[in-house]
Amino acid sequence: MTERTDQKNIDHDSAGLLSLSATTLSSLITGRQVAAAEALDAVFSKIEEREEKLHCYITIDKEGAYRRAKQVQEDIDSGLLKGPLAGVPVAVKDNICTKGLRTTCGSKMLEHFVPTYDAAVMEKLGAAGCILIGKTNMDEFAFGSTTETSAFGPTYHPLDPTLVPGGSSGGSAAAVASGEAFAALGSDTGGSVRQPATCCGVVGCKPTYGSVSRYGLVAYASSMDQIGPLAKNAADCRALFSVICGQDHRDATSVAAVEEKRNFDTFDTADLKGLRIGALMPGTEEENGNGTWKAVSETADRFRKMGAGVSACKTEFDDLLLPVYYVLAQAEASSNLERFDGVKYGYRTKDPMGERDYHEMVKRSRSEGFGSEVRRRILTGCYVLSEGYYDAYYAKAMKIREKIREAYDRLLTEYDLLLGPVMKDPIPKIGESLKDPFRMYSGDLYTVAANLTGHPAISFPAVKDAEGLPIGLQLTGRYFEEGLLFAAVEALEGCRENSN
Amino acid sequence: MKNDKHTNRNTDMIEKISILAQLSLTEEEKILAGEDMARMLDFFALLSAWEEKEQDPVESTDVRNGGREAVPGDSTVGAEETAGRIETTKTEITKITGNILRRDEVTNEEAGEELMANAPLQKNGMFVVPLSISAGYEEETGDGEN
Repeated sequence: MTERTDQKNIDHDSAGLLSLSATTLSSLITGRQVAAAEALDAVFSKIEEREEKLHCYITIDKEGAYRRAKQVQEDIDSGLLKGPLAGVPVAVKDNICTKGLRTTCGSKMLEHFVPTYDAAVMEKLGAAGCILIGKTNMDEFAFGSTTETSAFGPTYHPLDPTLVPGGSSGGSAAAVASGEAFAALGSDTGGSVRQPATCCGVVGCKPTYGSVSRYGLVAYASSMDQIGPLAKNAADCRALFSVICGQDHRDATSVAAVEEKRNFDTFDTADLKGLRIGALMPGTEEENGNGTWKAVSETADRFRKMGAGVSACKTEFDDLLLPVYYVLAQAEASSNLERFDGVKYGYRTKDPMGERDYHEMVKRSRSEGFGSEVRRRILTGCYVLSEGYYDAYYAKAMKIREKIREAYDRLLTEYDLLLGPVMKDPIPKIGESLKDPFRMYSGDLYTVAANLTGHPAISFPAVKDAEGLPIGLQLTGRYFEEGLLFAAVEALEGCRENSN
Repeated sequence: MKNDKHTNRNTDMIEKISILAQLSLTEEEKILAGEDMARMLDFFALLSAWEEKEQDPVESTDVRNGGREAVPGDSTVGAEETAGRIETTKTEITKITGNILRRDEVTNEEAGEELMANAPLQKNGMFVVPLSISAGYEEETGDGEN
């Protein structure tokens, strides 16, 4: 083994390592100032300390992680592995298939399901030298925005255990925020990466539809699902995105454009000069009691100081976003979840009635295996697709969706970026949303547009409220311009560091 | 008023939908599902009321004037540039919607056993399921031996 470089500047205790970003950690690991196993030690000491209370993970694979760290270290030492995320311990949402490691989707239905293959993003993380720590908690089948509908119990907010961490990728967001992982993957169908990232004070990105292969992602609403990174800062998000993006013949909706347009590496924060940003200012300051309004105007000022032009803009169809989204998402979900029949994999009823008749077995398996929120959405989905209602709901929603897409395209020819809120209300208390799911649905107001239109969007912590809880905002960009989103958030991060 | 109508309609509706959804609901669950469905349809009400019409172009107002005065974006854009951008956007959409297809072939035949390991019940490499033809059929035809 060759010599290790100068170690005097690195704090090797776990607190020291955990304070590092994923890309900084990796540069120290590839520079052989820190061992891959040391980074894992730090993460597992944090898990030891906090996991019992936070419940970020459904499954932790400690043995596999150390085995993998040994291999990664060998590849780094022999010069095979050099990438910007080599040796980084990561967490992955439990709806992304991991070969040989159970993948539950937060559901009793898949409690014992062990995939026989890796999702495309897992292959890519593996090739980049990332080390999987475990599978993170989520709302059952990603149906929710608080991580409370998980069949394995909720995840708690890292800063305040009486609050939810957001969802549905709440486990991933809480893991990154608490130091139980250096970075994570989630999936975003209506805000499920951006909203928990906002709650937990980390950066989360929903990439352009089609830029990341969903081979091995358990489907929710296929016309909107995208896998996205959650990380401590925009640079880490950029690095993770550049690892996972790209066309894949196993996902017919993945596109080559993202590879042609790998400009997400070349955008410079200096490019913000002359940038046109449209600020979405919902309602008035009084109406937005959670400080979001103030956050938008303060962030707009920061952008202006960097030379960008910011003006207020309005979106159309705001009232229709949620109805359109929920009609389409539930329709697609009811169709996607039809595959769970108690035959090929997943839960099968033990009820004797189910042993006598096939159809009874399927119905009972599904009714017992799915939680109440999943059953509710399947029923609505079937309703809007059923004869006599299809045109009034599903077909109409598809039509309006196209109008929404056109309206956002028009806006994004006028502006380079759209700045706006992520959340309508303050972070919910544990238990609050389960009592009234409709209130939870209305909380998705600002995030669903990017899923309906396919545009990329990133959420980032902007300010803190009086209690010290993070308030996040969102930037939406043109198709495949993730690079500009990362650069803009990086510029804001830099501006915040300078003012501190 | 509207809710009552919904509730009545939905009591029957839920029965039909639960067949499509392949869910078996208890009587209590059916009532709850009917109430949920009524609320869901209220939630969708704006969508039902929507009718296609020519939309107004997007307005732009300056944030620093309290959103009152309508002005173009800070950095002025020429008509040519805007047209160019619209063209680019169209190209991008084509790129997004252009799916890639592959032959529908089995590529993991050898993984059969591994795949079967997740089945709740299997025998000789096949899924085991209860009878899918009702017991009544057997009795009627007297063919109960198979």
